[in-house]
Amino acid sequence: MTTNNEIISNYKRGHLLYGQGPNNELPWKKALRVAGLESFVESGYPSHKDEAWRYSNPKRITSTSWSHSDAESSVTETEIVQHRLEGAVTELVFIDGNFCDDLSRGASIAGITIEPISKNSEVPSDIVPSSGGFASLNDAFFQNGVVINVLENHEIDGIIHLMFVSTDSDSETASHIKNFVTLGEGAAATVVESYVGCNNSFCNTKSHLTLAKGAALEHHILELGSKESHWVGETICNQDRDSAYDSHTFWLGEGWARNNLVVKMNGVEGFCNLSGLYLTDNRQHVDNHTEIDHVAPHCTSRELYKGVVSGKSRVVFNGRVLVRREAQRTDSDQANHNILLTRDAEIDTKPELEIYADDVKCAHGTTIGQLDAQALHYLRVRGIPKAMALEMLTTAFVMEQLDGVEHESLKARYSALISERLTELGKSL
Amino acid sequence: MLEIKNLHANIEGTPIIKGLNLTVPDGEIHAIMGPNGAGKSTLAQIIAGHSDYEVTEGEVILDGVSLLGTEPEDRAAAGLFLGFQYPVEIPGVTNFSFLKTALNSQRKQQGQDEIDSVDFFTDLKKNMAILEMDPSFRGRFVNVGFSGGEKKRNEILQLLTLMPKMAILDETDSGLDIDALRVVSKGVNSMRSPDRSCLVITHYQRLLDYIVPDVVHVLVDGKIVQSGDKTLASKLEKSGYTELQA
Repeated sequence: MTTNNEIISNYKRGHLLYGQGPNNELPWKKALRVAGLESFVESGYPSHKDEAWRYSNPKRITSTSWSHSDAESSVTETEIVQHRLEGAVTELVFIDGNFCDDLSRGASIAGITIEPISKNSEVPSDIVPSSGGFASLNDAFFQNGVVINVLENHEIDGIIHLMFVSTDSDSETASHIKNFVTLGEGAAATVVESYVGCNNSFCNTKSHLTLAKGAALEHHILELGSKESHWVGETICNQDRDSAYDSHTFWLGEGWARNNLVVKMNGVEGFCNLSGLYLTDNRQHVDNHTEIDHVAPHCTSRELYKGVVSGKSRVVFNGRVLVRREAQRTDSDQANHNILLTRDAEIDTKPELEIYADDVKCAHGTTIGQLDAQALHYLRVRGIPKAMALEMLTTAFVMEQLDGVEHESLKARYSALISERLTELGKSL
Repeated sequence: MLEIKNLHANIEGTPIIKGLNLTVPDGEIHAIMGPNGAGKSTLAQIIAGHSDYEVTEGEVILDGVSLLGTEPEDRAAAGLFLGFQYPVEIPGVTNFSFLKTALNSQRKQQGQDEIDSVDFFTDLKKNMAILEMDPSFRGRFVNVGFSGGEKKRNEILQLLTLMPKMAILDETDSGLDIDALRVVSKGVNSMRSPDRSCLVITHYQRLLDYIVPDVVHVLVDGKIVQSGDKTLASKLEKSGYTELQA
């Protein structure tokens, strides 16, 4: 049995940057790394014996001795061009967790600073270190990531795209990525994090989002890992009064993924919308743990996660909504809808509502069903072949997840990826 | 031409169709009437290829090609159409995209190119005008929130879009008021031609005043027990089926 200290030693060994880091790093980085190490020594990796990991055994990650890549990347434009996003005003590219200046692009935009963490940017002073597990490992060993600051009352029209690509290598390579997105009062922006994971890769990412009064953030996570890729992420969003957080997550890859999304509604009249879509197949595993913390009164939260689950894949959804005693007049609505295409597919879904205030409106609903056999028959009787009919029905089921996506180019990209993925799912039936 | 020879079929082991023979030559309209539970809708579903029914004996042949054992989509491409008694709602799929996909799927299977978009739209507008359907029905999800009558008109819109060689209409008149019945019949009559035929399943003579059949068959207990010209329908309306069931 590997001890937590041994795991850490191993990470330190594989992590050249860490060895050089602490002495010349900014104080906030040092402090975060120290706190991360301490918490991880205490907690170690999670296992399926922990309630929060009950349905998602992270053994494939925790039993592997991961190395890191600090090498200059040899990745060329042709290898990543398909992952670029039309309509992006800025595109920062990271290969195996390391910033790649050559592949990144974008002119300076008024009212915004955006740079890799390695440039020693300052971040909000009230960052709270995580309390163990993968997130603490991220605090301790983050390699790089992006710091975005949008000044007050500045609205960024285009998409800010952060692209994280892992490359095939002989060794099993982990990357630890940390992002900070801070919107000043009345600021607005759209940020897309996309993750392209290759086989035998492990990406451990954490994003710290801070929305000041009246700020609006449209935040996307697009995960496109290959079959033997592993992805663990955490997003923590702190919302001040009158701010709006609009989260869209798309699980359109083939690998193992676990996401924790935590939204803290700290100011009155805040709004958040969490939307998620997963399309899974084979032995894939996708776990979404979301938590909306209604701290302040008069806030509204909306949540809809949907997916089509096929093959022998397994999907987990855990939606926690916490309404604190002070959070009167909270209006919260959560839904999770699933279609199981095969007998061997599995979904474990659990709404978790904890309500301590008495004047609130909180709804939740979950459905798990099969494809409508009558509808399928109807389409076929009209001459539409089975595979195409299946795709039409699954597409019809999932496409509402694109309704809230503002940018047309982004919508088009998702639409194409979804249709590709649904064709794959249909093929194996 | 549709030929059904000595057809026997079960649902969950219970025989429903018990040795049925029927021929509908090109250009003709035939009607099937019969009491509840005689097997009329079952017959329609079997011809269209519903997997819930097990055919134990017999043949169903369309223009010399055996349909049994083939997929529903292959039967459609071969020129068969079934107007459903209970049309299915499909949330998320618009009528427009459904019709176009269905037509192009059939054309592809028949080795033809996809239909020109302008031609498709022109035909669609023309057919919707015949059926007195509001243009908004193009963009609505298939049958979702449609009234009973609107669903039946939508079935006939599909019929006019796909122009099959052989159309089976399963109780298309049920749930229709007189005006809707007239419109739906107008749609069916508009596609009559020497190489198209139609099998109309109904309980009532009323529909057959509008869609005039060449032959009327009476289906009782899984078999055709009597066939005659259109006057048979009005006789049945008066005498009922009791005599025939005895």
